[in-house]
Amino acid sequence: MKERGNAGAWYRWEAWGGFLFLAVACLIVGLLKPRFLSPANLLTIAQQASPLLIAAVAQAFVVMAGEIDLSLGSAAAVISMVAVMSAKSLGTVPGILMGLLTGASLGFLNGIVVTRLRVPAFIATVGMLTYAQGIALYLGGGVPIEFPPPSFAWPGQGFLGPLPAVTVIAAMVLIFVHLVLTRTVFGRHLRATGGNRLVALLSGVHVQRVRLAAFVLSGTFTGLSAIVLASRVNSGQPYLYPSLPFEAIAALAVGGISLRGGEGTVRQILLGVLIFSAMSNALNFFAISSYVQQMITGAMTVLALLFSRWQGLPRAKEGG
Amino acid sequence: MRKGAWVALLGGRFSLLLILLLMGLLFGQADRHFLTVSNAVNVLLQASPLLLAAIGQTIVIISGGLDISVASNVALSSVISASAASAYGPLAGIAAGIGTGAAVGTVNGVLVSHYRIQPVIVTIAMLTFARGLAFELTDGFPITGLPRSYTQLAWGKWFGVPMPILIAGVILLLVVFVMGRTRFGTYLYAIGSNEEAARLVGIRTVPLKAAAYTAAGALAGMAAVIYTAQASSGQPTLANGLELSTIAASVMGGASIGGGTGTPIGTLLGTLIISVLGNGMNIAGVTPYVQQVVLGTAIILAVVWDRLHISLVQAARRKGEPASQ
Repeated sequence: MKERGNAGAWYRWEAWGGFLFLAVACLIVGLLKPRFLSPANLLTIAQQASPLLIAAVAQAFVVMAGEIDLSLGSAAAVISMVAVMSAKSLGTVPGILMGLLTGASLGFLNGIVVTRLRVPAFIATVGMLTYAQGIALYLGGGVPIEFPPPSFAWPGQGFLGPLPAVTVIAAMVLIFVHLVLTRTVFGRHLRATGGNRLVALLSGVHVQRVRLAAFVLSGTFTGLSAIVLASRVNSGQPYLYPSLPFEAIAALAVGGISLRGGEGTVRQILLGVLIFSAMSNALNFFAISSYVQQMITGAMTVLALLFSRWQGLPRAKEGG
Repeated sequence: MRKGAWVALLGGRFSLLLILLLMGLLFGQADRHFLTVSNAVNVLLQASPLLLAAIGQTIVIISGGLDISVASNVALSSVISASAASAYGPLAGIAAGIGTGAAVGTVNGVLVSHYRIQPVIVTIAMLTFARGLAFELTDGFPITGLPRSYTQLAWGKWFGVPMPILIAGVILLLVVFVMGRTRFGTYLYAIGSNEEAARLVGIRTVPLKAAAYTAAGALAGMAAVIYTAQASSGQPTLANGLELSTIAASVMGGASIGGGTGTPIGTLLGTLIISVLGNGMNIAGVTPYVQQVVLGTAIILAVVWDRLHISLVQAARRKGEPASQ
């Protein structure tokens, strides 16, 4: 198996070259704009990268299973509304649990439509995008839901020692997902399913169950991401973060994960998100508008894929 | 009638007409303003640009692809068309709008066919890029000050027929001809059904697939010009959610995701169903939020029905019963 080879050779260029590239790029920006490398700004980057990281993990589960989820953005909006509404009436912890539950159910719904009704994932999730957006608007009558209890602000704005709470949460998510991917049968089945569904099926993998589980996990992590985002702005927003699925896909592509499924490591997710977030932050230093950043998101997705093709990766052919 | 024939009939265009008729009766019962000539014209006016974009989507789906960037392409083309029209006159505006759409489509097409990146990913990336560019060019504000002759595209009439309906009708006939009677159309169906087989019989799949996206882009550009004329301004926020409506119209009209099937006339029926549904819900006073929920559900049901229909037809065929499409 591939991951065993990689685990033995932690110093390999393929594994860490990207981080080296990131470090050099950050140094160059730091030389031009010294404040970029200040500890305060690095913490800001970590804080800003964390919700995207959790969302990228959510996207990664479905991508590794050979599917795609375009509904992350409006799912996150619904979740933020539900979480803040329940936090107001039931308290912070039940609010958070309700948010996670909402995320898991939306993921379950996506998964059922994809696996049982055999609707292609991009259609099912584009349908969900519209559907969930409608519900998010309906719940608040088109306006945000505000004033959750004060403790609701902790996941998004609080600190654990010197570190932002959201970064600690994201780090824990990464460790959890790393263990799931490398140490469990499910992780292996997930990539087998994404790599070649027929072969996985013939090898005795419960392909349908694995795909469904990927969507439910994805929904749950979308829920977590939405909760920290809602906590950061202290409200449930019907238009919380519409570009979330696209940024998550861009981050995965930049991290070097094949969007055809069957592969992916936590290291790649982290690399993609860090490059993405560091770049957004750097562009702010150069006073480049958010519109241009949006253009770069799109361009980067395609360029990253062209780059990985140009490297001539033989594995890109696998199972396609 | 035998079972196979029923399945074929219900899955075909006949059922779409039936749905249209039922919706017409239902909304007509609910409100007497619905079944009037002026409201019918109103529905067609709203349906015209959607039809243009949806036909483009159909062409791409037939070739085995998908275009999620339609809405952003329309927004970008609208902005560029409006700027060109207010600076250089209406003809330049129209050309710039269609040209922008075609250019965006061509980039999609080349990335999909020549560089072999999945259509969904390419067009997602384009979706983000084009929307960002539309906002960057305008700073988020609409572009106004269009010449009157440009807005005539929306409000003018020719022998009593409003221009948008006329344009959409002519283009529809043209695409029906191209897809049904020319080599280009036949080859696209072949590529969508089985790309490898098409390549092996000597069809040049790479440029043809790219051309499908170019055509779709040009049609999105035309839709953009009509939307721009109707709104009397170029809008960077235009057409949000259009990708879903166009996919829904194509799939309802018989285009299968995966390629090889679909017709412009089917897409016309799908477009009409979506437009009548939207118009009827508006008249019935359904809030836009709930309309979104209904549309999201409708597209899923359409695809589920399409899958079900395919497997029923296949099952009927396996039993040896003829089930012609």
